[in-house]
Amino acid sequence: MRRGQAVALLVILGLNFVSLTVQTRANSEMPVRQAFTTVFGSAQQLLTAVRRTAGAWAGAMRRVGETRSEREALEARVARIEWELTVARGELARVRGMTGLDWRSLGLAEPVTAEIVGVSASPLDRTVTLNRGSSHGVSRNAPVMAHSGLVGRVVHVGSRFSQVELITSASAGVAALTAESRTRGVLRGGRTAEAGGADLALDYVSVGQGVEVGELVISSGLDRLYPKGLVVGRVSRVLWGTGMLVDVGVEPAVDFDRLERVFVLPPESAPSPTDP
Amino acid sequence: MNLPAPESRFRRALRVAILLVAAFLLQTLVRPAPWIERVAPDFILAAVAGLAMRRGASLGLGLGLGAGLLQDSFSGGLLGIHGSSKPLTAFVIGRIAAQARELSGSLAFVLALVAAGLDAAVLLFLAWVTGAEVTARPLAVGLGLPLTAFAGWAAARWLAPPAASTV
Repeated sequence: MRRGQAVALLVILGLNFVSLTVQTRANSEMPVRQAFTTVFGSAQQLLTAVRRTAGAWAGAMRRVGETRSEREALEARVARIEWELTVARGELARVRGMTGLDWRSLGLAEPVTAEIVGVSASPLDRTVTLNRGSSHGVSRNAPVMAHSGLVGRVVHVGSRFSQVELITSASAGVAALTAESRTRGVLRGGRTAEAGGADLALDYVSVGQGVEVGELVISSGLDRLYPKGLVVGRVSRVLWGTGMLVDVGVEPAVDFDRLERVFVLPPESAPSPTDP
Repeated sequence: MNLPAPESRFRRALRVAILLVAAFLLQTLVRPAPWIERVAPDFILAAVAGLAMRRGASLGLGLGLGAGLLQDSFSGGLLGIHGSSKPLTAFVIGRIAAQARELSGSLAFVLALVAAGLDAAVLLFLAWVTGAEVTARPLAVGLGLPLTAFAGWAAARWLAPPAASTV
């Protein structure tokens, strides 16, 4: 009995080792992984729908009394936003007329809107599952944004679901640029010790480049993954590092704990031609 | 004379199914508060450890493999990372628990803590071997171990046989 258990364990570990070897050596998406993404994405979507429905019902029961005043406030807000939209459209038309700028060239023309239906089951990774896949036009390495900034990139694609690696993941990297001092670096997640507790660290910044706390950090486009100009976060700390480098901490622009809806952009194939 | 109350095979299987489903729901759906996410408890490991303690190494091995592969599928990592660590942990915990005359609450907690530590060590080793980056922060893993152990203790308690009846 005990010998049988030990043999079974060895067989399991051996098969998993083969699986891991194949995956680490193969650079492209494995068909079995695509199938898993589709199947478990469906399961997560179903379960998330149940959770949200139950939560919505519970919330509705609690907040019946507040509904009317909230509705009035929302109507006023919608009216204000509509007015701001009208003004912005006018400004956009004016800018287009002046510069002849083609917004499609920035790769921001037709993003795929997606909802987050699940989070990573492993404490080691930072990934989320989206309810959009290859059949909706999502492809591997496509940048993912929220209205407030960059979220990450698509790492696995199924036909109807996809998985996104967040920029706060240790394996993620974003070629970035500070908006005012124009300092280049590479943003990495999971580097809190060096970045003084921040979620992201801007690596390879040397002393004397003038990076200041509060500066906006945007993507530089040099990594050929993310288009230039996407908001990533703000510099939260600048600390003395080792040698001629400084440790720069960056707080992400996106609140990942409250993220529900994102936009998947077309994948980048070349760096932005407008690099300064 | 004290005898454990009889429990049908169906009810025993139902308890296991409820435990595993609850663990997956907690792990994949509950979007916890930021401070909870940063201490990273592993509910699936807790369920597997509880199973191995109460139902033996064989069942722990099989269900650990299934749960581990599911966990890999629900995450963005490599297929086989959790698929290796969970059955190995279940095997070790099931073997140790089989040596004990009685699985007390404190022993269950200690075994769950050992399971959490062993699982974390195996995961870090596999990440090192495969060259995968590890996002979890050391402090989060350190604080997550006792939380996982507490969940494992609860899982073992959930799977415990019904209270003894006096004949």
